[in-house]
Amino acid sequence: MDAETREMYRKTLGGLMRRVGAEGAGESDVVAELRELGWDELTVEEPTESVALLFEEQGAALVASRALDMVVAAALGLDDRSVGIAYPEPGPTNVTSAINDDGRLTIAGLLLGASEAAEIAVPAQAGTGVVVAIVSRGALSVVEMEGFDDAAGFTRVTGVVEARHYRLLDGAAWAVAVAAGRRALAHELVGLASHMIDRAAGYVIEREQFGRPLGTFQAVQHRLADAYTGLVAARSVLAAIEPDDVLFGSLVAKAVAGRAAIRAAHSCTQVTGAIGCTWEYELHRYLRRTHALDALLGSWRALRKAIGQQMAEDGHAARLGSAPEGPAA
Amino acid sequence: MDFAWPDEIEALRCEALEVGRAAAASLSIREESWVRGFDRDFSRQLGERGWLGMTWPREVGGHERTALERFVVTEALISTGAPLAATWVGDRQIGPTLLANGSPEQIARYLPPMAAGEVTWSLGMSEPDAGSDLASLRTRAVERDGAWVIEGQKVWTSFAAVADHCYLVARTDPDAPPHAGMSEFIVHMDAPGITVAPIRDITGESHFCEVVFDGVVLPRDALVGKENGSWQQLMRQLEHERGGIDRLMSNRALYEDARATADRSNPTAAQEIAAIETMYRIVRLAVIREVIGQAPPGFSAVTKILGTELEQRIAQFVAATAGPAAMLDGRVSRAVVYAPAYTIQGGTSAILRNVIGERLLGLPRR
Amino acid sequence: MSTAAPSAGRTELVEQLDAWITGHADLLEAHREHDPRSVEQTAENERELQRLLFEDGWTRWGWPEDCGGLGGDATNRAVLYDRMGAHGYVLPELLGVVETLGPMLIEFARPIAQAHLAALLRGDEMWCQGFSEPNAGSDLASLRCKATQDDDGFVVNGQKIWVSLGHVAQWCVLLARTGSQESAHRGISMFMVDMSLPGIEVRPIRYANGRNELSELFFSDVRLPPEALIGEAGAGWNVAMYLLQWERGMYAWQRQAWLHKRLDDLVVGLGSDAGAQADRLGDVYLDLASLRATCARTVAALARGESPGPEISVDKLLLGAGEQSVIDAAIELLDADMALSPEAAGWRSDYFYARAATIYGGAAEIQRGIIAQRVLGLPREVRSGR
Ligand SMILES: Cc1cc2nc3c(=O)[nH]c(=O)nc-3n(C[C@H](O)[C@H](O)[C@H](O)COP(=O)(O)OP(=O)(O)OC[C@H]3O[C@@H](n4cnc5c(N)ncnc54)[C@H](O)[C@@H]3O)c2cc1C
Ligand SMILES: Cc1cc2nc3c(=O)[nH]c(=O)nc-3n(C[C@H](O)[C@H](O)[C@H](O)COP(=O)(O)OP(=O)(O)OC[C@H]3O[C@@H](n4cnc5c(N)ncnc54)[C@H](O)[C@@H]3O)c2cc1C
Repeated sequence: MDAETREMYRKTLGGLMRRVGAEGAGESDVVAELRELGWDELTVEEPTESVALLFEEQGAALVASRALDMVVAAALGLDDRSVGIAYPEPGPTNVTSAINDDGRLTIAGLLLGASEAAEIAVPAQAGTGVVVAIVSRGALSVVEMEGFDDAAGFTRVTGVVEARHYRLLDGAAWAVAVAAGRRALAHELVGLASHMIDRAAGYVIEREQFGRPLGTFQAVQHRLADAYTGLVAARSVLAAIEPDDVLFGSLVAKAVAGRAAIRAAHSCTQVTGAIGCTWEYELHRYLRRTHALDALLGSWRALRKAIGQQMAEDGHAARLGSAPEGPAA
Repeated sequence: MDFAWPDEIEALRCEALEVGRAAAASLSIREESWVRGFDRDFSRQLGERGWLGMTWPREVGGHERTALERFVVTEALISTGAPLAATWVGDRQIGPTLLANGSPEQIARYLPPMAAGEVTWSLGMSEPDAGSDLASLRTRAVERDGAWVIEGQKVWTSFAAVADHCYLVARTDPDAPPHAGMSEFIVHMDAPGITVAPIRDITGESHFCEVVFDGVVLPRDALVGKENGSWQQLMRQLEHERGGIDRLMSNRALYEDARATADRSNPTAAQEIAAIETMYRIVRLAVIREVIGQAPPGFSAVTKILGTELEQRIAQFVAATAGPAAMLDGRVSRAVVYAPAYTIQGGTSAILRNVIGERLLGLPRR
Repeated sequence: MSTAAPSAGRTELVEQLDAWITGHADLLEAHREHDPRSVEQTAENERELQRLLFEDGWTRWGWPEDCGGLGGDATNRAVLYDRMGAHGYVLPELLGVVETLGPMLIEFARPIAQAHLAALLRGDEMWCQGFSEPNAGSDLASLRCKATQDDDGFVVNGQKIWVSLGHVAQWCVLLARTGSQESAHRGISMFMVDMSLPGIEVRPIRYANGRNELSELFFSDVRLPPEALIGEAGAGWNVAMYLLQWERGMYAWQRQAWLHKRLDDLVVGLGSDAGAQADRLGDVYLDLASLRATCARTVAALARGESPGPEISVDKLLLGAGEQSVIDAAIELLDADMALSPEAAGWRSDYFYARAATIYGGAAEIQRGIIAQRVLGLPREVRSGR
């Protein structure tokens, strides 16, 4: 994608996201609008950049949508991209639903939005492998959440489904879908961090103490510079993911992005002082969303542990991406 | 030197732990109990036990106990999550500052109810344009017809919506250099002309407020200490505000629960516990040094940075221990979003580092 | 041994290089670490390897043919650095300087590059970088070492300090003032100085790790010919800024390859304890992956001829953080052996050198200031008016 086209898409997607953000959750169907804009074609032509742009803009505008479901469904090879996904409960295990010996499917997971979707894809442990089952939305019951980030629209769901009431998705590779989801989430975390840094930078340029802008103080400058460094690192790692190493690359990317976004949130709160600690000021909503997205599909802490374990097993560290390539001859 | 508490102090500590546990038993959240645990009944109980104004003279309602005794009691109460907010500001710093700077009449009038746990004080220092740069505050106190008239606005005033009194810092001489034109006043919150608007904090609760003073008339004797002498008085008051055990213990209760469930076979978790426990003991000693009056002026900056940054580290540890699911709802996530405030309230870490550099290390002022 | 044409695809290049490395395992076995005790001994030990890498073409890739290279863009060099590290070997230590000074010479003093680059790559020559002075460290633009122009060229007087490997170098790339002191960064020029010229005194400085990593240079009435000038007179600051990009980008890439190797060493050193340290190892990995991915982007941009601008300070911060992350983890996790064991001498030496990773090439604090002010647009600091 050339720079001009990218800018055009960024404008369009950013405009959509900002509008939805301003209207508030639930007012518009982001996924439907994306489809109208030709999203499906774009993802075929530009699978990487389209996701990067969409999720960065979604993060920056703090929009909650089911776009992630769309990406994961596509990676699962589902023709019907409107299927909802029952994401594993955040925690030490990779999947939290399972198919029991008697064939019943026990579901524990998170949905994005109350999920208008009629059908839900459920990754489930079956023996030593992970399968993806499709169940109807009605088979799930909702568990109340205490609302850490209500606006994120997560719903906790459970259910037990008899074998005859679900079907297994042929040839679905949950690991590949997870990788796609992690990349999307990493981009969204980058969008969140980027927005927080911009806002905080704007704030410290404006506000004065001791007769000068806060932004002239090194303590303030250095915290924001560190936050920005983390942001650049997250972007670079996303760019370094190579097609033949997407599983590992996506895992590292989400870990780096999650860590960077959480650190950025802390730095930005610190430099905005008491204002940053209030409900009215938007920063905390970004802080919440950062934690919520970090929790999905592997928190940075869980992922770094996985990386470390892999390293211990291999006896050496994997190199992320190969050496840079020069300009095409 | 024997670091073990004498028997009677240890007994007092155990008693306070017991009282604290009982008071906190019904609370689901026991963090920040000196900020968010507002309970007037419990405050009166504390007064009856003689656990408020512990070190103050008997004739003002105090109990003439040692600073160490006060230390063990407050440490135990905060660690259990007992609701201290209703009396904390008065007990921690207003009582001592009145004892040091107040007139005999002020002391006689305001300290006994404080020690009885009957009144709540708030602290009116920060303003929208005077946060770190407190000396730039603009709220005016003008002497008129034998009274003080207050015009201006305070912000982030914790407890203002429920407080009986506000300890106000206002400008009395606009022509003097900023530090030399400020004075301190006792404000009765029921005085006409005061409007209080609670501000919701990052967790959704509202302990701090915006307070507008619109022609509020204070009697002449509302002035505390020297006219235009606030800055010197404040320096001492801030030592109480910054160097105490509250800056170390805010989320101790949560930490103890997390420590109990942490996977100690994981060396990262084990080392983090070791680091936190080590730091905890070090900071505790720093607080004790403050408490027994052996800390040099300005040392409270060190104590507060160490304590509050440890509290933030604890929030991270708790998040790591509880796992990502805990970030989606409940007590852990609340604690994690509150944690950024530790290094802002009571003076930001950057400002305190400036204090350390300039006052303790003698680095040149910027 | 045959060498691949640089125009061959990347995959072939990597394959052939890997084969070469595997084929030379016997020779390379001695090059898993630099000699932690001595710079001079290291130079001695690594001479043969450096020559062989050149003769077989591997260090010539990515350098222009008229300068003794085999052509192809700079990313070809990145492959060599990366593969050597991936196989667990160090690069010859004296090769490090080529990434800071080589591209600059090619850009601003082609004849000098033509005359000297091959010699450096082959290990016949060593260069050093004389920028810092006792009173001009972070504030480099205040440097005082003077180069006075006359009819025969330039006369240099002054002092340089913290010159890496200065006492083993034959040539020094020198920043000196050709304008007035007030001209600040506008009155500075860059020179290629023959260290054997009369009037130059070199004193090695023993670094904290015990090696003579650095030197102090004294210049008294040193006469330079006009050809010693690199770029234009008075344009030395721009030359230095150009050079810094390569130091931030490609030198950092070289370094990340080595740091990943060091992480491998740490994992091996932990043995069966590695699994228990998964969290910590994972943390280090995130730091190194951040560094690697970021300088990969920078190197690619440089190879395309782009100037990354002030954002490149990010690479420097990530390098400092990454280096301290892995070395400090080793020191802490391998603790029982760290202080005393002879086998840990390398880690100990690295530990001291890692302290400098946030100082050399522009201290971390300075980089943060650059990012804050020139990338994020925060206002410049106010100097106290005294
Ligand atoms: C939970 C909470 C409760 C509070 N309760 C009270 C209360 O009861 N009464 C009361 O009066 N106030 C209260 N405060 C206010 C508190 O004292 C101020 O927030 C604090 O002094 C910082 O001021 P500010 O928020 O205006 O931040 P600012 O002063 O705007 O600072 C913003 C950022 O700039 C940095 N900065 C500012 N100046 C410098 C400098 N010179 N060098 C380096 N960095 C600098 C700060 O460190 C900070 O990171 C409370 C605050 C909080 C968060
Ligand atoms: C191992 C090593 C190798 C080196 N190799 C070379 C070499 O080959 N050639 C060469 O020319 N030089 C070399 N240097 C020197 C290096 O470039 C300088 O050390 C560096 O630029 C810092 O300068 P300084 O040491 O004078 O520190 P100073 O400039 O005195 O700085 C001391 C401290 O103050 C801080 N500081 C300074 N100014 C500011 C500011 N404005 N804001 C905030 N903080 C500030 C710095 O960040 C640093 O922490 C090397 C140094 C080391 C340690």
